Amino acid sequence: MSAKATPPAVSVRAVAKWYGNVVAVNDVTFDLEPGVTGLLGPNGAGKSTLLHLIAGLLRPSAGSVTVGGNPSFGDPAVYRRVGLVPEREAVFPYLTAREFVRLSARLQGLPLGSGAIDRALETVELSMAADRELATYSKGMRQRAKVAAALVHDPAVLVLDEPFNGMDPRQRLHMMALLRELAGRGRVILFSSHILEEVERVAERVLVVVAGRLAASGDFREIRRLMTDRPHSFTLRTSDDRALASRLAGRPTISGLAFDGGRLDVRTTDFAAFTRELPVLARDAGVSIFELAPADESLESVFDYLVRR
Amino acid sequence: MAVPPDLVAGSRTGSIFDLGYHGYDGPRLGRRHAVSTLFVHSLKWTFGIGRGGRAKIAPFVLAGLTLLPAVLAVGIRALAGPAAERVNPITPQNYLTYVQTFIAFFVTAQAPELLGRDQRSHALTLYFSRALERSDYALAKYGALVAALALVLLAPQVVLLLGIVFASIDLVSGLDQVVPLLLPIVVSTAVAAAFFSGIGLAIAAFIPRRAFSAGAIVATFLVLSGVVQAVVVQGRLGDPLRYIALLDPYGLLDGLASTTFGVPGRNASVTNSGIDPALFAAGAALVAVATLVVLVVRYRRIEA
Amino acid sequence: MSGSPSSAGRRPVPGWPAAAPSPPPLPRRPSAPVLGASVLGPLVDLTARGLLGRRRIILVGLLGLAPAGVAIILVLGGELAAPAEVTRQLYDSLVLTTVVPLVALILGTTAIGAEIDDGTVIHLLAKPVGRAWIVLAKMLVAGAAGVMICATSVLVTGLLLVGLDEPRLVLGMLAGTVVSVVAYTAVFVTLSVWTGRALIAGLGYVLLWEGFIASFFSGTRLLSIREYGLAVAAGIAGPEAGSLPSDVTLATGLVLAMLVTAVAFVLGARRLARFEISDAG
Repeated sequence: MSAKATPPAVSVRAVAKWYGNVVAVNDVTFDLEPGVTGLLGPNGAGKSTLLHLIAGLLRPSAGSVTVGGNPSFGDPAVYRRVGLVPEREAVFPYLTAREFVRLSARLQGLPLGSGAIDRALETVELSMAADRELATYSKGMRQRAKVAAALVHDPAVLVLDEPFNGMDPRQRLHMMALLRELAGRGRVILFSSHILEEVERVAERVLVVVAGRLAASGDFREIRRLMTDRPHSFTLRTSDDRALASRLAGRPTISGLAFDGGRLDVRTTDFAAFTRELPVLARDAGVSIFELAPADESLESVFDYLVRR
Repeated sequence: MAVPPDLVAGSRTGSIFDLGYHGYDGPRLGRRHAVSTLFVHSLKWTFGIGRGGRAKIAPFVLAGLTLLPAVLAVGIRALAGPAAERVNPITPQNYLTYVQTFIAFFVTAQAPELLGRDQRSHALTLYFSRALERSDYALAKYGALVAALALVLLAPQVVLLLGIVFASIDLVSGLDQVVPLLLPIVVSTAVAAAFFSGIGLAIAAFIPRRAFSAGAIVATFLVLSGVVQAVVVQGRLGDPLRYIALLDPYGLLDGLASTTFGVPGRNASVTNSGIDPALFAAGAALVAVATLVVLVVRYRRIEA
Repeated sequence: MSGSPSSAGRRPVPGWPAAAPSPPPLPRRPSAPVLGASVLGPLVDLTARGLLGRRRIILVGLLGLAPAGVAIILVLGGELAAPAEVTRQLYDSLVLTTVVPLVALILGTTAIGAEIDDGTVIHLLAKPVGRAWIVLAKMLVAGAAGVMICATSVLVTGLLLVGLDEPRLVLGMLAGTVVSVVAYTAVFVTLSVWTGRALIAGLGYVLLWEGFIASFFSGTRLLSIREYGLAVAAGIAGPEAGSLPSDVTLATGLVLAMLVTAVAFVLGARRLARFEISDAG
């Protein structure tokens, strides 16, 4: 697998963007590979700025952004390989969805009659309503029209800014499936969101941006594991909570125990040691463990931690 | 803090928590207060107060420019004495016509600011869901711009009056000269402010985008006056065509000034069309009222 | 932070199918050049629909036809003593000074300004099209619309007032109108690429620069588009130019107008190539 022979699809190196005194993006470095990457962060964290930098619509104040090895700003040719779904709702209200996608196709140089327009509209399930003006569309439908326009030239890199905004649950599931399918075909998908559940469900990889800086990247479970200065919490259901708890209490890696209804809450500072010791202790105490679940391994708690840092 | 039983993982109950919020049952200030608050707020808004530095540039520059000729006139008169009278064309009687372009510019700059933003940001929904009636909104905005413009126009005229008083031999004769001018000044300023503001607001109410409505307003003033001037400059139109002169906003202003002060008109629309200046003054008042009606109807019907 | 190698970071998400192993490689160089003239068609189409398809164009049309309205009124008023002179004055004071710049201002600033303002320009910029072609399409549509409105108005005005007695005058006025509309719209389109306050800036140019300054300082006449229009009109009208003021020769006016248009185009294209989206995240 010669993964390093070709350059990464999108490469962001020490990129910063400032407007006068305000720093929107601060020393961000990452690469994007085929698959779905979620850009996560609170509002105002610089997600849109970062996406516009990648999409070549902003010039980096420092650092470099390259797509396929070429800098993204100032080079219209990059859009042959990149599709952008911007966040702002504004589209041309006097065009129909079909005309809007056709405009996109023509501006991409696609030959007319290639069927790409119909395919794109079908992919977002707008074929039926395609001949109504965009001004009459709901927000979710406009989003889908934008996605269709961005997909019409089958880009290798798709950048979406808050794509699930305004979509109802069914549309959202459909869009998630679409993104996964595109990723499965080797496309590089980057989307931003401030809604954790969306990112959790779709993204293989997460980039967490806080106040313009990259706070974490990778799989969020791995990130959680890396957060060693914060105790992990687990919830256990066992045959004899108290017996197990008294054994655990003697271990130095345990930082907290609590009885809660029928459950035992355990906090530990050393995740690895805990996973080794727990089965041994349980066996020695003659206690059966029915359920062991991490209590804070959600993206939410990871995010919470990263934001507060 | 113990975890409430319904939040334990796996349970299926739900509850509503009392966070201590309460409704407000006390006295409410009501519609009058709402209208006067909007009026005052809009008045301040017109001068850029509470909006940051850049918003103050246009109104204060224009106000300054409107004031400047008066200050200069008084200054020159003070320095050069009565001899200056012969070369100084600026008098309280014709001051409004002298600064007519600045009046148009003030309205062009501020009418879109007053109305455009609320329309674009859907703040109208908030306004109309309060004690404020739709027509109240229109009236308050109209009143605010008229008041602002009136202030801008009164200042230089007051300066001129003061100049007259101080330049005269004694206070009594000064006041004798000045007092008869007070009523005409107030009336003409009020009506002038009203009909110029009305035109600007009536246009701005239909065009939410500020830059475009500014363009439309200035275009209206320029084209109306340009067309009328072009037509009447021939000076020999008969009835009924010569009444087109009444379409010129600057003509209306001049007729207003000449009627209230009792001096002959100066604008070509007034002089060349042969129409009684009083008709122009009436036209000005009519425009002031008609545009207010248009504004109220527009806001009664607007979608918000 | 980017230390974790690419494949290890991709844990399969439960419930979704695993990714296929072979992604299409991203070419090192773009495989096709940036699009050129072929996009002019769709861009012109889009701009025309956006600019002309609404009630706004009716208002602009009314504005443009004001001189014709004046002509109608004058003709209805009876025989004019000096129709040619009236026509010339009308042309100088109303058409070239007020109507043409305003029409060009509204069309020129809206052609691209509206899209920049509401952010839809992003849909044009995020495409492999040369920025110059975008600017060209905008200028073409705004200019063509402006010319159609103003030239029609001038033609009607001329024919109503002087009929066929002064053909060279009417021709000259038409030519001057075309030249000044084209130059004005080019300048205003570029202005709206450069600044978000193009309409105010344009108004300032028309009212302050051409209105006051250029009429006081004759040296600055060479920098006034209105003067170019007058020069062309007077030059072509020849003996029928009469009192049409023209301190500038026909050739100079024409050349300068073309130069201004070309410079505006180049500046606009270059600025758009470096354009940065500025909507709030």
